[in-house]
Amino acid sequence: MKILAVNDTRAGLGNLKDTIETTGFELITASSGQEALQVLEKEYGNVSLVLLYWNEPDTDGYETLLAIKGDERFRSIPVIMLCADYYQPKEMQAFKAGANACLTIPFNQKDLAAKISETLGKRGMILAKLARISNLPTAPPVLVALLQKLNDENYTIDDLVSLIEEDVALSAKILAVANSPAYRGTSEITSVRTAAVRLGFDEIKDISMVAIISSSLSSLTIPNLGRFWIHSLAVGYTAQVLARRAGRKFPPRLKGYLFTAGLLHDLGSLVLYHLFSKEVQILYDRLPETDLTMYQLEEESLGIDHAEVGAYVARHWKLPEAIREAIAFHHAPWQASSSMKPLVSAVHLADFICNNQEFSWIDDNFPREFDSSSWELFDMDLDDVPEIIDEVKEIGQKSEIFAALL
Amino acid sequence: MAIIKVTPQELTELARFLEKVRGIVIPPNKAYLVESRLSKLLEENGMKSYRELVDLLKRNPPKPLVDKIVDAMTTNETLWFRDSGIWEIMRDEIIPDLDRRIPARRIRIWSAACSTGQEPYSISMLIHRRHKEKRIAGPPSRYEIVATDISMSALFLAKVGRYDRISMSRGFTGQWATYKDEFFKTTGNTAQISNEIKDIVHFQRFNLSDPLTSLGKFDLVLIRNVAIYFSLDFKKELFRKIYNAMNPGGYLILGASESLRGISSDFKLVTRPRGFYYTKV
Ligand SMILES: C[S@@+](CC[C@H](N)C(=O)[O-])C[C@H]1O[C@@H](n2cnc3c(N)ncnc32)[C@H](O)[C@@H]1O
Ligand SMILES: [Fe+2]
Ligand SMILES: [Fe+2]
Repeated sequence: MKILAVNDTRAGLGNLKDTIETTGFELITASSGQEALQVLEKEYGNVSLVLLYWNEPDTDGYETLLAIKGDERFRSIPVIMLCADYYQPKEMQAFKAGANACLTIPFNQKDLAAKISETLGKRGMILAKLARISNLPTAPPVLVALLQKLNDENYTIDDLVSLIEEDVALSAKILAVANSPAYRGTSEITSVRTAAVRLGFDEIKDISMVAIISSSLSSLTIPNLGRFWIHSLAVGYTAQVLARRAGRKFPPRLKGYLFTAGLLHDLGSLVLYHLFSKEVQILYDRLPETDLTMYQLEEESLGIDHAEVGAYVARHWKLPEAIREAIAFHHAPWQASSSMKPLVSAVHLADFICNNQEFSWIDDNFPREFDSSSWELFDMDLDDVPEIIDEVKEIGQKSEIFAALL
Repeated sequence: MAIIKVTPQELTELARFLEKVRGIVIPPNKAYLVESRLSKLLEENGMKSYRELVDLLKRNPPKPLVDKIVDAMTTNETLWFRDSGIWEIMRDEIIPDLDRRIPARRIRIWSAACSTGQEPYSISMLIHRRHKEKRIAGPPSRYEIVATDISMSALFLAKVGRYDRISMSRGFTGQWATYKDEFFKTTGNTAQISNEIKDIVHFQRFNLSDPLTSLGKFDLVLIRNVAIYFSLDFKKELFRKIYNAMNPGGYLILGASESLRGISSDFKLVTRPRGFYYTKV
């Protein structure tokens, strides 16, 4: 996310660049109103805010403001006028023309930073910070490679084994999991190939996914990291169970995504905590005293919730659209596009059920209702519920063992 | 019906009121929920804005109006032993009477809008406690509680019988507190109701606008805090159907703020100091 400073005066930008960068934005500049419009056009969608110098006679700061606000495409971009005393009496005029704030020159860095965050709101600041991603982990190539193959019918178990064997740490992790009580067979498994044969293609694919994802996210921590992975694993497995029970009603083209979508659905929580641990910790502490659920609290106090943050990261990582939607809409599946709805619904219901069974990762006040159209999509019967719960209990135990190895 | 817009200020005041008097929370981002559920109510009461409503609530809130707001805002809202008095009447009068009068067959009870199960499970707990205390001849399985609702989500939670901290904090007060210890197993943040309590309750999806014939005949019907939003004609029809689905001598229990006045004259009203019920004579 960028901030455009338009300065057609002789005055320099001073330490504007430093100030902007501390707020998490990238500074770009234009030296005339005309150039400003060109930049906005070229950077369409990337500019969060415009700083407009209006500090000397004969400069066209005000005209530039009119031009930006007069253009359908740019009208919604907030503008802060940086004006000289000279123009202070004219501030009203600028506000009437659509300026969002005015700051008198000279100003100190803190004032500017405060004005920017006030103008953009918390949500804007968080999105900006996310966009800077310098402190976000990047998606490891092996994850991207595997994700692309999730639904590829020509991908064989041999391809997968060679992909894993290239990565020593990954191979070791997979062997540890394959030999754990969650999977243990009669004899010890000593090679990835044997593990693949013993456990089957789908299972080894899921295990690799967990190993890859957990190690690529290992720089992100959260107070209940262990429970976080138990929850994520349990939601992944439960989503698979629900889809399996739905039989033909669940589209085969989405099957390959179920586990990974479940595994990643709360990704945004990790990222939010990583970037805003202090603020998020306050929300955790507030949970016992409110009836709101965690994502409502996030929305209320940060202006953005973990679903949106997670979806943002998913896009940044170029994860498949199916996974991104599952992350984005796992609390509100009715917002999903209709082709992805079954996947999103499976994750939504799985999350609801796992939380209900205490395979949750914070002591949240869980939503009391699930989306009934999601349930109807799977056409499950009330009499199926005890069986589903039994399966989920087993899944939870398996996930606990599994998570301990991550 | 026109949607009347609520301002953030009005929403805050409304939410604060509901929180204070009924412990109900409306998240600030739920303005649309308030608008879609309460606009009709405003209109019915001749109000043009939420300001009028909020001012009335602050001055001197009429109880029926508050009930309606609460129910509109919290469709699945329910609690254990809701309206304590009627549960004492069920425990001391109604269940013993059924037990005595119907020695030889199943006693059938219907919880007609059971939401997340608190109502039917509360009945089941009464029955089990009674059997333990009085060493009644027949087993509790001589009772059958049919619990229905239209919401799959509510029924799912009911069927599972695992409740979160907030649900468990509502209703187990005073004399009912010991039921919580006796029939639930608490782990961490949730509590699981015991199998014995679940065993005599059968959950089923059922829309109250459908014919009742498939459900059979009942000796006790609870239809509480659901009819308030149905139209008069719908209610007349519903209570006619219920009448026909009841055995002679059967009991009918409504919510504490509801009544059959103007809806049905088939039933006999019985008033007690702690509450009231209707019977089919
Ligand atoms: C406020 S709760 C009442 C729960 C319980 N009877 C009590 O008094 O605590 C109302 C319930 O009525 C259910 N309901 C609403 N309309 C219905 C209909 N047409 N048929 C069946 N149930 C309905 C809702 O799903 C909700 O669970
Ligand atoms: Fe979530
Ligand atoms: Fe979750």
